[in-house]
Parts: sequence; C-alpha cells; structure tokens
Amino acid sequence: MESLNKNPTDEALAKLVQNGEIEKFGELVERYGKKLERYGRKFLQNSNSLEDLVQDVFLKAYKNIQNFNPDRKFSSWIYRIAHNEFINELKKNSRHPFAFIEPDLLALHPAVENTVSDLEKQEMRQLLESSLESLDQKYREVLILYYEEEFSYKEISDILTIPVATVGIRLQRGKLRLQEAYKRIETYGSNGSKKRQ
Amino acid sequence: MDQTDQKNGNNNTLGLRREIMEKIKHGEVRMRSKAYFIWQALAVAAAVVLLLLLAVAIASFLIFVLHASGRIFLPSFGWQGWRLFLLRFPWLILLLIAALVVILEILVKRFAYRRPFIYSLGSILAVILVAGIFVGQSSLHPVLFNQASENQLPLAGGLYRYFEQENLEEIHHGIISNINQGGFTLNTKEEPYSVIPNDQVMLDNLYNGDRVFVLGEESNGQIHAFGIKKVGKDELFRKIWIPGQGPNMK
Repeated sequence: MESLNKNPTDEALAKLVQNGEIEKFGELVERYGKKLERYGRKFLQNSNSLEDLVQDVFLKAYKNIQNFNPDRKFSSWIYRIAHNEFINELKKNSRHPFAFIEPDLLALHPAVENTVSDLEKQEMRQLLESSLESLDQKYREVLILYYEEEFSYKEISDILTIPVATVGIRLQRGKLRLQEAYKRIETYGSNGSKKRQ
Repeated sequence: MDQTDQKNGNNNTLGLRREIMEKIKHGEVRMRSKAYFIWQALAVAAAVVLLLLLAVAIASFLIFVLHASGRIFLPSFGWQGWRLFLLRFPWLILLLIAALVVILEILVKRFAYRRPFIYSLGSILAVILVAGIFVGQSSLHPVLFNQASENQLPLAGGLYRYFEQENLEEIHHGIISNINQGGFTLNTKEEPYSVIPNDQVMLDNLYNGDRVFVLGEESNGQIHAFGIKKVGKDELFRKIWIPGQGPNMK
C-alpha cells in the first residue's frame, strides 16, 4: 500500500492529504520548497518577497488540493500554481501590459521533443546563467522549465497552459535568442560598451 | 553548492514546512472541498453550453435577417451590390457573436489548452456556423417574427420588430404587377413604385404576381433597379415574411 511505502510518490502523498492526512502536506513542502524557490529566483530575477511568494504557493496548493488529480503529475500541478503566482508578482511590478494572445499560440505543427545531451543541457544552463536577464519572459520561462527544472514539453504545456506545439516553438526561438544575447554580451559586455580584444 | 549552503537550504525548507503546517493547523488556511471543484467545473460547463446556445441563436437570427431583408442577394449584383452589402450589414449582431466566441474560447481553453488555439477556435466557429445555418433555415425565426409582429413575444420581440421596421433605402420587397418591356409596378407594404431596370437587368423570367426583392435607389416613386431577385416558392427563403402580411409559409 502507498501509505505504508517508506518513500511514496508525490501523487500518493497528495492523495493522502486529500484523504485527511494533512501532516503529509509537510513532506510535499519539504520536497518542493527549494525547487520552487530556485524557479522563482530565476523567473523573477529580483524579488525581495520570494520566500513569502513560495509560502503563498504552498498555501494555495493546500487550499486547492482537492482539485488535484492524482493520476497526473503533482510537480506540473504545483509548478502551475507557482507560475501563476510569479506572473501575478511580475504584473504587479511591471508597467508593460501582458499580451492576451501571442502569435505563437496559433502554432499548428506538432512539437517533436528531441533528446538533448547532457553536454547541451550543461551549455544551455551556463548560457541561462549569464544571459537570462536579456530574454523576454515568455522565452525565459520555457527555457528555465526545460533546462533547469527538466520538465518535458507536455509537462511545460500543463504548467504554462499553452499548446505543446507552442512550447516547442518558444524553446527553439528562446535558444536562438539566448545564444544571440550571449554573443552580444561577449562582444560588448553587459553594459553595452565594446570589450577590448 | 558547499556544505554550509546545503545546510542553510535544508534549514530554510524545514522552517518553511513548520510555518505552513502551523498556519494550516491554526485554521489560517482551509482546504476547499471536492464538491466545490465539482460545482465549479459544472458551472463552467453549463456556462459553455448556454453561451454556445446563445451564440447559435444569434447567428441563426443574423442569417434570418440577411435572408428576410434581402441583404443576402446584394453581393450577386457586382461591386455595387458588395458595397451596399458591407454598408448595410448588421455589424452589431456580428460583433455580439464575436464577443461570445471570445468568452467561449477563454472558457474552453481552461480544459483544452494542450492543442493549438486555432483548433478550439475553429471548432467553436464551426459549431456556431453549422447550427446557426440549420436553425436559420428552420421555421423558428419566421414563427417568432410573426409572434413579435403581433406583440406576443415578450423577450426578443423588440429585436424582430426593429428589423421589420428598419428602412433599407436600396432594397424593396413586393409583388409585381403591370409588367411591360420598360419595367413593372412593385406593390410594397408602403406604396406602389414604378421599377425601371438598368441595361443589365433581365425581365425575361418575371411575371405578374411574382414576389421579388428589387435593389436600387428610389426617387419620386421610381426605383432605378440594378438587380432584381425573384423569391421562389421552393427556395430557402420561402418562409420570409411578406411585408405587412407576416411570414409567408407557403
């Protein structure tokens, strides 16, 4: 039985919480606390209230846990709550309006998820580390979720509630933009002045 | 990450766990019941069905109005017809349908986000269009129109009466009499007009007693027609009302 299992899955733990074993929710907090903080730090870049935001994510998750379907992945579900919370935080601090409909949401071609080598992942993580700030938020989020958090296209589609094909397109474009941004920083430096050879 | 960072991270997570569990135990946050989410899902589903029905009803009304007013025939009479069609199109009704489609798309996307936006939008538009044409061709609207004419339709009656009374200067409905080589008399619900067709309009298949839509501007009791459309008994628009007589169900 799942409840007797020493290392139950996230979904099994969530089910136990749904059935009234609320103490088990603490275990989920422990499993995802650091991950969500890391995601939030990358996503928001600068936020003094990150700890409070992560706490709010867990409180919302607890409040709505009966809406979680244990047949699906808990990680996608809690990341979706976190993503919405972080987006709201960005909206609060941004003067620019968020687009209602992005053209890439119309993408029709099915996204083919390629296998990515560990080396490529490592390279992309380094690029993300150095050039993340220069990217649009819509590219930043898919790149972080794919390379840093190691979610699949389908899981990212569930987290961001966008079509799987759009995830593929944003990932492809995001990678290109990231490489361009990196080259720019290499040539001109982060303050825009050309580096001495 | 060195050992000290890892230790700090673990302490932070334990602190977070403690704080959250305390809030839960002290009742600062309460779990919503399963029933809440079931009702919420049912409410969204009901809203989708109701909005879809409303959109179909409005789309079918638009199709009925286009047929019944004769606007639908305008594009078949060249650029002049197209110009008038666009000028006299009931854009407000189309705008209302577009608004309903946007709301429906937002609601449907809650469940169907994995597939491209164009699929769900296409499906919604297809349902509205097919069902709208189907209902628009049925006898529903002519019957409702008749009730509205007799002030027996409380809710949408005003809408039907508005379109009955609207005056489209370039479209005239009526019955032909006194046909001759130079034209004919068109008996409308207001008054008889003398119709003078232009060179491109053929009178070959027109006879006294035919019901027609005559397209052209009227001045001093004369209509200079650039198009004439006969309304046949077996055609789709056989249920169109004859002005002043209500829907003709022959």
